[in-house]
Amino acid sequence: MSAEKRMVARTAAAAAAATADAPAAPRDLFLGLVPVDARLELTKAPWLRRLLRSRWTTFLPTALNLFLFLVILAAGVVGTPVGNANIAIVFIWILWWSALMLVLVPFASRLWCGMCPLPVLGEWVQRFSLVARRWHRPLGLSLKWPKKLRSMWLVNGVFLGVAAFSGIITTRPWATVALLGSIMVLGTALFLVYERRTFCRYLCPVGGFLGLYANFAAIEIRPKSQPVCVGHKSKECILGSVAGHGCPWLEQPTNLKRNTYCGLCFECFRCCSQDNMGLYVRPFGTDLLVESHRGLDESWKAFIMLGAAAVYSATMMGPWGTLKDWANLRSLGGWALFAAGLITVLAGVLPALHGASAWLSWRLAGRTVPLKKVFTNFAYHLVPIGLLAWIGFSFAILLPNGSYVIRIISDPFGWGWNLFGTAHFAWTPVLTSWLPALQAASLLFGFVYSLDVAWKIARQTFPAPAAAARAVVPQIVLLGGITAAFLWLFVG
Amino acid sequence: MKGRRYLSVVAGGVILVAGFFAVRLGAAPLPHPRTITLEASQWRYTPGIVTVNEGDPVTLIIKASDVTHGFYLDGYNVTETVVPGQTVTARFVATRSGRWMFRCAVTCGPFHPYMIGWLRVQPNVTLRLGLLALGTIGATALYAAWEEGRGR
Amino acid sequence: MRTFMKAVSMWARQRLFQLRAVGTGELVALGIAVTVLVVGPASVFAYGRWMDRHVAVVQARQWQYAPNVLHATAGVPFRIRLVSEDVVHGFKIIGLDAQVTPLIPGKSMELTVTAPKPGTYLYMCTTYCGLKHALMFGKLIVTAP
Repeated sequence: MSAEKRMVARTAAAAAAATADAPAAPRDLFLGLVPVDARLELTKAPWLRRLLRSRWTTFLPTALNLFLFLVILAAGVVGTPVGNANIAIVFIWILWWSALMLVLVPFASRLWCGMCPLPVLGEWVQRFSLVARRWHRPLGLSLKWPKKLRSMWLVNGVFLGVAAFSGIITTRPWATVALLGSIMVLGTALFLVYERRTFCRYLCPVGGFLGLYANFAAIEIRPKSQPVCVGHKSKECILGSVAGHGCPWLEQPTNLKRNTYCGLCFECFRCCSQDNMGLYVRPFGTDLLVESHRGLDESWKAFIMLGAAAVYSATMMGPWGTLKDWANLRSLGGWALFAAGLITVLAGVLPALHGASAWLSWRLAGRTVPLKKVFTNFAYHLVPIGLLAWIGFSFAILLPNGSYVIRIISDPFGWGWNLFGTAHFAWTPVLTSWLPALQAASLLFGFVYSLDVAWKIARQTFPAPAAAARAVVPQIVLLGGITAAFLWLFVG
Repeated sequence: MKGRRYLSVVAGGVILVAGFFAVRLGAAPLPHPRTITLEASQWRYTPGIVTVNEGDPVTLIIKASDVTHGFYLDGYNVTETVVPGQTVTARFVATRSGRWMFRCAVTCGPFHPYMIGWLRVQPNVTLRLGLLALGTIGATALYAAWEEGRGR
Repeated sequence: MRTFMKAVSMWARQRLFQLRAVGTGELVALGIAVTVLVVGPASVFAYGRWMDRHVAVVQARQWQYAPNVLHATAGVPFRIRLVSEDVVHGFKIIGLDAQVTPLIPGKSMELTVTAPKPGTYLYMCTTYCGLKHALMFGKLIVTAP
């Protein structure tokens, strides 16, 4: 039995199981307002369905981004070393990062991955085509990723490594380009060694947090009807068909439960002869309540991202010059202190705090479930507050510095060009008088949402309502503490 | 159960409104003029945190010690350029409470966008309101959890 | 070895066959990809270079000018574009009416100079820019027409 056939068999069994134990519970509400299972199928609109089924919908945005990325690469190598006069810094760390945090992740899940130029050369070579779906064995070795590495741990490690150099990477065009260029080179190489988008799934440092935070996103791709999938034995969405590739992300679209590893490439829409895939709008945070697939790797991703928002806010937006000098590698010793502190806080202190509150929850609820499960499950309520803290931080980057974009499109390399006549547009902070209010509001929204998710997770983890209510108490305290700390960093 | 939830929402609202007046009441000392010397260098302001009271007329004497720097104060629209060897005086009345970032306005090296200091205009109403909302919501949630958790 | 060669030739033939079976869509995509990868970046560069064809670009950085020697002909207008690569600098040619102060990073400045007679002119930084500010200078060599 080939691996792919086995995968199909497993999917069918899982799908059957999923339909069998569908409970008839009362509708749960987010914030007491929006039903958890509220969905709006966007692809009911025929034009959108046609658009998503077209192979060009993936190719064209990716090609545009590839062009921009090449300009950025060139700017990092030959352009000015002045960060805010170089397209590499302005487009990546002001425009792209803010767009990810403020728009793409919350409202479009991993849509970025569907148009990311970094792995696309590898993918084109692997498929030996640009847009057309050609039916042949993929180029390259198509190895399977080692089982032991099938998690977010590697991504967490890579992210920590990159974060230690964040001061350099976000201010020097050459460093930005060195990072992105090496992602591209490594990615392209690994596309030829490992099957499909193994690289994106298990190694890309950006993909890791996109994956975790995509679970909060207000959009999802899911099969329209489970029975149709169960009854349909050819499993085109996994194996591919003449119209599209089998899921490049190694997911089983028939059985998609969470957004973590769905890269919104829409291949399943193209493959499915039953036209059974749908794109849905849903309330924020739905996937945080999905019990299957939770793991310690994702918990650590949640700690790392939450901690990174705090450390970056303190270094980049704080008044402490010494901290900036450390992050800026003024002295090796200072930087070592910064890196060690960053890694300790992100991967040690926060997990310890969370561990303490999880232990308390476990004790208060009467130790009916394993402590590890309590720890893992409760880590997911750190996602809303984490993302909203990042949104607050992104406002502080975008509002003061967004105006550089207007200048940079006319003079991408900082050589004094004036391509579109906007090269002399002066630095203009926009709406910075609203910044504290925006940041505080983001945090409070995140706090309320996290509380709600924590409560729901508690009820899911401890079936007895009283036990669940007791278990949630330490989590409320923890979330309150985290939010208060961010509030102080942002407006205090 | 449902009634209690609404009750807690109403109670939270009352506390918030009451608190809004409370954060305003706290401190209202007579404004008195302040003169603060601010030194700009790559890439920090010394002092990094400036604290004044709402309504104070503030005079900032800004110097640059290495290269040309700038000064832009969020929320007050104060912009200055500071050339080494010269002293720039920025005057404003601290009418907007809260914490505001002041940042370098003239590119001064790699960390220029991160060259930031904080101006605290006391009482910090934004922070107090935020903490009040946080406390109210948190306390309501704790109360609800306590009530529900009592019955075994 | 022979089997290897055979495998390679078979693989190549298969690929060639597939290339022939490429549809118009794929060719259009290929065109777009080539544009994106080669023509686009190349034309951006070409356009920029074309715009810069009569300008001498001088980069100012702590604490030197690059280039620090410029050549011009007496009586002929000479265009200089100044760009700062790190902090705020300045520029002044002693003995000629040519000065830019301040020269802010990210904000390029252009000036046109006409030296009336041959000789060597010094240019120097006019804004204090750190420890070795005083050592930041270059020379403009003007030759007879």
